Amino acid sequence: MNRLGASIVLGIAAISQQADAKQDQIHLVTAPNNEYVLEWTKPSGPLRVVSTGNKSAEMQLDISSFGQKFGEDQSAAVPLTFVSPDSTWLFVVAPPDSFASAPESFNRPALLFHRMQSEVAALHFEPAMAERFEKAAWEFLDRELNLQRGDVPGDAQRVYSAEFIDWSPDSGRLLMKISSGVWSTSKQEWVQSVYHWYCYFNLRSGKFELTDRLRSVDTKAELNGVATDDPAMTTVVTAAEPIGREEPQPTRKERFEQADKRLNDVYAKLLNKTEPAKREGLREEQRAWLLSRDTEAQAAAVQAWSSVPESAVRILENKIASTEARVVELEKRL
Amino acid sequence: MSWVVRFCLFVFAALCSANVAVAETSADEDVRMDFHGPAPRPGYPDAFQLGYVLLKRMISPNNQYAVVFPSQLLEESPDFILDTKNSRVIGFVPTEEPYFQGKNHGSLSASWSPDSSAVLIENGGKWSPNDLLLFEFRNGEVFRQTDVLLPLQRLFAEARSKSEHRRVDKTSAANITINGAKWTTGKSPRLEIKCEGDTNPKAFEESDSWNGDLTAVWDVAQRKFVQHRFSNVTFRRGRKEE
Repeated sequence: MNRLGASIVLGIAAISQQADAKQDQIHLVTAPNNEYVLEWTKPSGPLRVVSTGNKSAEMQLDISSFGQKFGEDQSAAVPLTFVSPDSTWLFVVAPPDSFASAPESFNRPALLFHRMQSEVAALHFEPAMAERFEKAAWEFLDRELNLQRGDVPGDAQRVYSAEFIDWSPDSGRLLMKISSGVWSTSKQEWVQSVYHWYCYFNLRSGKFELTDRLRSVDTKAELNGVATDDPAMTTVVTAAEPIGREEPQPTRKERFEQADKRLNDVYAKLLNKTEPAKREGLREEQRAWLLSRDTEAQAAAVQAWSSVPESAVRILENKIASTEARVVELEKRL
Repeated sequence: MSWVVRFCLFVFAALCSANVAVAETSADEDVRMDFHGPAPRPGYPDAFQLGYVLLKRMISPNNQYAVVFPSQLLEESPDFILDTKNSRVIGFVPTEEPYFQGKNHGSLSASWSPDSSAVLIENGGKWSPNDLLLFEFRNGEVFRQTDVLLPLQRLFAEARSKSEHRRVDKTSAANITINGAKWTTGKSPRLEIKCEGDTNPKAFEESDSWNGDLTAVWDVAQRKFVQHRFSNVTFRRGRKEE
């Protein structure tokens, strides 16, 4: 009897341990083709790609170049992983750490992995380049835009940060925002301010590149802190252009103003046409729709992992789409 | 059934129940719950699952709604109201300064009406709330949101005007500390807010100092304060520098 009791207690202990281990496993993302998922073990890894069909098929992704970004004291920190629409590319970015001291607070390394055909393993990903991805992106921008920011004082260090913006729908391009600044350890201050540039990595050619859209935005003074007033939001890029379908920056503010004016017109006509007893109902419906439009726009921007200023633009883009749809809906009721 | 088997079944049941909605102690000294947001974009992580925090104390009494705030991963993002049963986002706190986990001089609290038809959200700041907003729910949606902070500031402005015999700015009459919010139900739910106002929190001798406690009752249907009473009001002129 004692032996039975001991076995059961040990069994329960094993179940409990398994349950704990499961709690430490975080599902990060599912590939669009549902073939694999990315999982993270709290608090400091590993980051694993796991096949959804064959649970034993998995591989670990080496993100040791991220340094001390994870640990017991940073329980919310997880690597941010984005899978391309064709499920063959993984972009992994270190989480932001605003509670760290400068310059570490600014440092956000990134890695790009490409799925390779392998006879040995069902799932096999390799880094797209050997050197630091965000550093290579900045060096490309430095050359391409003639930034002339190569001179760094002796006691200072240049730090880099990458931010995911978007994949193009054809999986041809990865759009990122690259930032860089120079921190002086002796002065304990930034001796070269932190600026931002948009940049593509062409997933077909394996090279960084700029299109006319990015070049026009990257060279605008507003983007790099010379002037911060950009009410028309012309210096914010939120969507990657597919290869062969490059276009200039969309005009969002004007489009929203037009849609909003059309909505006001059609709503006024509908209210006029509605019997007086039912008008309050229509007013309430419109107020509820406005709340819902604004909430959904905010939530969609969050689900796109947007930070400032991309979040403001994505909110506006979502509001444009909802407002134009509402105009069509109300017009049908006239 | 032997005691060993009974004991083991008990422990097993306890372990299973603990895994339903786990269960870690957050910095906010409350129980953190797992949840999901609306469907993310294909190939993108669920920002709500990874980057937002849901604490047990922020859930409505009927368990249908909850207020969530971002972790450091998304610290510039808004605080949201969720329909937790359907993983839907139904409202957000419109503010310049959303609360995020661990924010310096920040706090977020939710005071739910007993019937879960309304919630008062306080987005706390260093000296005064950044926002005090009342959200009302109907048919599973937010149908109205009302700023309660400005009317509260107006009450303080009136009280200060009486004490100081001068006009006082109605938008920032005092630094306000909310000490409690209590709901009463009836034909129209009412919310009793207890708070105190202060104009000189650092007690600078050369500055004028006004202090007072306020109990004010907000009527949800009328969308205004219908009763209020000040107590312990003091006013002291600052010692002007020579």
